[in-house]
Amino acid sequence: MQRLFIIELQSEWIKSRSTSLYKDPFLLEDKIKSLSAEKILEIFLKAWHPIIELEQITIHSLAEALRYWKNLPPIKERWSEFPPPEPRAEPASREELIKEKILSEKGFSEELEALWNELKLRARIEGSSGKIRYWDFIGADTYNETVYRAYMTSFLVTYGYAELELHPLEMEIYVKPYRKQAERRRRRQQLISVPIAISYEDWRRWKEAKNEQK
Amino acid sequence: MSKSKAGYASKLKRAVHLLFYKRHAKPGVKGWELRKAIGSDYVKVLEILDKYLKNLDLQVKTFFEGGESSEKANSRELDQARFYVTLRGELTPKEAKMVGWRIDDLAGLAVAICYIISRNGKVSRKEVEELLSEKIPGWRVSQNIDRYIRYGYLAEDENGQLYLDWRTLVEVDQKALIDMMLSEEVK
Repeated sequence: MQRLFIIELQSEWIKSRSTSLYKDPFLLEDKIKSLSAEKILEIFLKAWHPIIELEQITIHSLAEALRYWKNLPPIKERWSEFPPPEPRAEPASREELIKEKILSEKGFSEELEALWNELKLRARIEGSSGKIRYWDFIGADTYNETVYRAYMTSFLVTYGYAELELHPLEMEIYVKPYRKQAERRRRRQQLISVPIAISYEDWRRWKEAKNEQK
Repeated sequence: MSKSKAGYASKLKRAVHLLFYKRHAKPGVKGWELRKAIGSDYVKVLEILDKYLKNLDLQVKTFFEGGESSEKANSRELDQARFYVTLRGELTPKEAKMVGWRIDDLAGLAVAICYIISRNGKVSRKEVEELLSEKIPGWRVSQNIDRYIRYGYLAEDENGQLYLDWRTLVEVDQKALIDMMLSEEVK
């Protein structure tokens, strides 16, 4: 079996060498390496007969193109063949709303109450006279979270869970929780809006100061 | 002018239009296309055209399916063959520049063709790249091989093996190229 295989291979070898195109590859490789590019080009040009081909517009192709253009329906008609699928209104699930960040995982009132409880606790432990510095309360590890806490704190004040104390001379703002939501209604004070800027720079300064304290 | 002569003149014009202007992705016209446009005597018309073109150093070249040339081809073989107009003589190095190739890129093509022929028509791309990078800057070698493939001179399979493609088979006289290459004396 092995002998047969060797004879078959030898037969292939002889066949390959007997073709008119067979040349010793090593000899050819040696020639290729030793000849200059100019010389190789000179030889190649003697054996190269490039195809003649022209690529340009002819009267015939222009006539064809005009015929095509004439029969081509306007783009509006072609597009109307494939009407876009009509959007269907479907109720979004709570999970989808949370995913889209329209709803938070906790309900708004639950979250507000949790924040109020946190404010009461921290005002008692970290603050003095039942109040805490505004930035110490809203400040968080990230700027996004800080803005979110400031936003929720504004509801605590608006809905009567806490009040803001402005100390212009000290340039300080305190937030003071009420024990009950009803307390505020009894006070009958005139409501004023207090704009507080929560810039990224303010947050960074607060964060650095906090880290130094640690 | 006799009717017959006028008829051939008209057929010659049609043959020139078909052969010179590229109509498909690849140049050349199939025999059956010529038969349809010119008539069953299209082979005779091409012979007359070839005589005319000789004065212009051009020729009508027939390339049979499978690459084998045949002196006595039957009508079926002729219908399936592809016909081209090619240069009959040769270009000078100065003229070759006008064709749009750099001298060393064309020399690189010659080397790649010779090397593939010497290896029985199949060689790995890596080997050709190594050979070419001896004389062409490395960054241009791969780019050039891609260009040879794009033009139809070489073909590459999924295993990275290079072959001679249709354009080399039509345009290059392989035997003459190898003979000349081997007979060239190195100074």
